[in-house]
Amino acid sequence: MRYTLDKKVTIYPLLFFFLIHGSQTGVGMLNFSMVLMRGAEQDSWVTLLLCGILFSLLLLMFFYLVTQAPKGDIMSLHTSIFGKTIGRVLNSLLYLYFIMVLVFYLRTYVNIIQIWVFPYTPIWLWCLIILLTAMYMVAGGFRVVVGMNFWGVLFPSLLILIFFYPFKFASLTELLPLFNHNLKEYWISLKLSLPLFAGIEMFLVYAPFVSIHKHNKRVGIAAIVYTTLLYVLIFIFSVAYFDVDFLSIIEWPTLKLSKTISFRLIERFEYIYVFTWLIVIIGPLCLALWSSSRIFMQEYKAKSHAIVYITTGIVFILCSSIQSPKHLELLEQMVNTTVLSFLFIYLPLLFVVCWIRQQTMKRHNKSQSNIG
Amino acid sequence: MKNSCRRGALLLLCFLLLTSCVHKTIIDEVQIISVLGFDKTDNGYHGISMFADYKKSELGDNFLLEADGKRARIILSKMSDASSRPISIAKLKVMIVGERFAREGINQFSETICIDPKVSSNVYMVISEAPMIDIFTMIQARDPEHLENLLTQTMENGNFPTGNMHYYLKNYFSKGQDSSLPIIDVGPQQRVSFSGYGIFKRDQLKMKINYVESFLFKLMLGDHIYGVYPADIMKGGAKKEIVFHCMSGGLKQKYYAKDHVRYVVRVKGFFQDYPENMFTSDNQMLIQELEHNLEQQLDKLVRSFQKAKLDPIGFGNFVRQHQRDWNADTFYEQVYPNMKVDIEVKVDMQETDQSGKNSEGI
Repeated sequence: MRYTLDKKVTIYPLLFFFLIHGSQTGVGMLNFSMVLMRGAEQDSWVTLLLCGILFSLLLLMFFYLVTQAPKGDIMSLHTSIFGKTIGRVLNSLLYLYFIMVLVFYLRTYVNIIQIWVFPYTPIWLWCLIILLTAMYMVAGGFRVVVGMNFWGVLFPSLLILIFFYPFKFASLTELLPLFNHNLKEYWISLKLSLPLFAGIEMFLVYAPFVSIHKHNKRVGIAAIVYTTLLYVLIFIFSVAYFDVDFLSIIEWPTLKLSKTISFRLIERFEYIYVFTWLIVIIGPLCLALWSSSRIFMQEYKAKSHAIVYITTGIVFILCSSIQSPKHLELLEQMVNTTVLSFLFIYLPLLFVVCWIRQQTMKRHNKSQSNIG
Repeated sequence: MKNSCRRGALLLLCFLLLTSCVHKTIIDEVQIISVLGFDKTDNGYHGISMFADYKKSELGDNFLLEADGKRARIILSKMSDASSRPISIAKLKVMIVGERFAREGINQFSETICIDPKVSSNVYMVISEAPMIDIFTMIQARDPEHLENLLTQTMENGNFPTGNMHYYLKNYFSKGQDSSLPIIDVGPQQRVSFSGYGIFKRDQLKMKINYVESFLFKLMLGDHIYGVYPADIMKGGAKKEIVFHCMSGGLKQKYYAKDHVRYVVRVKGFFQDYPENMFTSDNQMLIQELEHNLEQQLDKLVRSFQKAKLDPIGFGNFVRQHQRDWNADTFYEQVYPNMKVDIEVKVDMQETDQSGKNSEGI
């Protein structure tokens, strides 16, 4: 049985769906179909499905990890396995990891606003406005963050309906021929699509806030399945609309797809799209900010609000210092490598260590009871 | 303490909103270009743009701006310099390309203007056979949205396939299909009229097809089949003409081998303007004749494309979808010119009373 906090602060189990799905959607959704063209081209939907399966397994692993932790989160697991000093170092590294993710989320979104809508507004201004909003919400507590993620799920789901508008210009035959790529190309696609699904690792931090229910795992996996379907659907739409050759040179295909949509009243739909994405982005942003503050708070027993402000300040300085697109690209590569090594190397290792510890403890307890 | 902090943050947010330090463009303070045209001159390029001024009247008066230059952005910037207010291409509706320019290659303009995120994907692109200034003076006399509405209407209800920027760019970057754009000209009554369709190789205009061929081309594309087709009918040794009004249709493609495909066109419509001594009772014979005629004409059109090594119909894309190791160069060099394209046309009658002289005995 995993540890949870008092009923007063925990959330309703169904809301876990919105947290998982909300943390998985981000700016990546706007350009992933172009990125995947570097690998298995029109066959990349296979790797997206594979990602869904891998992340479902990862989530089950997380559930095991948090049951092993005395306080139900990764911080207490670190200290209980590695001792106080090493545990503290690992937790500080985790804090830095979340800061990096935060900077990445925010800076890529600001980049889009700058390219598409306001090319003359300075970067720091956008960073400040969005960060202050996120900070204000995080200061409201975990439940406000959950609420924000709820909207972050609802809005993009509604926007999917709008994609049926450009579908009349599309043809599904662009997805043919099926499976004409070799394993190496699939591997490249897989490596590029795995970071899209990242974000569920925040569950290791907010796990004690999710109240125990027999369907917890089911809800989590349903969220991952939903994310996978959303990605696959957008991918198929993009390929059918643009075809492979054109898609591989468009920078923001999902936004470009919305450019075809025009109504009498709203002639240029993509502007609405860009700003609606703020609601999508603010969910994971708040969650990452909350998670990083939570790690710091638990580790150093500090006041929560002050930590939120300090973290916001650090993120703001880092974000506004990234000016050129080259640096942004560098950051993207760094984040992708770190996220992948954290999710697929470090956490499985931690899982193995945890498992061995549990087995030895079981044997130890057995032998002790035999002696007794 | 907690409350005051929260209030402080909220207050700060409000101030940020009040300062409104974002870049703003007010509609009366910019010149919104709705039509933009480029053509080649002896030294460089000539650009003309049309914008509507809504200050004087509600409908808007049209004004023209002209500039010369060697690059697209320089021309736009010169236009901006020549006017009292800055220009904006964010609401561009139609882009006209001069024929001379199109023959030379429109790459530098399409790659700077079409890829700009400010420009909509629904912008119409057309080629002009007449001198650019004639077209502009003609549309200047009408209301600001005239040309756009004309193009929308013609592509929906006329013989022409849709030719907007999205299609142009998609086919331009595609390895298995060549782009094509409609051609406009000065028609009767000093109006803009369609004269045909232009077929491109990469960014260069290579071939022109006429009004009737445009309808056939539309059939082969299989998109939004609608139009009017004058068919030659042989009856009793004499050649007569009848009009077939196509209301809807569909296209089915079948792949046999990498050099053998089959296109089945199914059209539904009715006959109009029956020639003398022909009635609805002759429909069965007329259908057969029409099917035969359409098959012949389509075959001729496809052959002419193959001869010119142009592929606006997208046979390359179709073969690529069925062949695992498709290669653009070898396909167009070796396979395409001798590719076997079977064309079959099936005509269905749509019984209506619209056809006028159609009941027996009148």
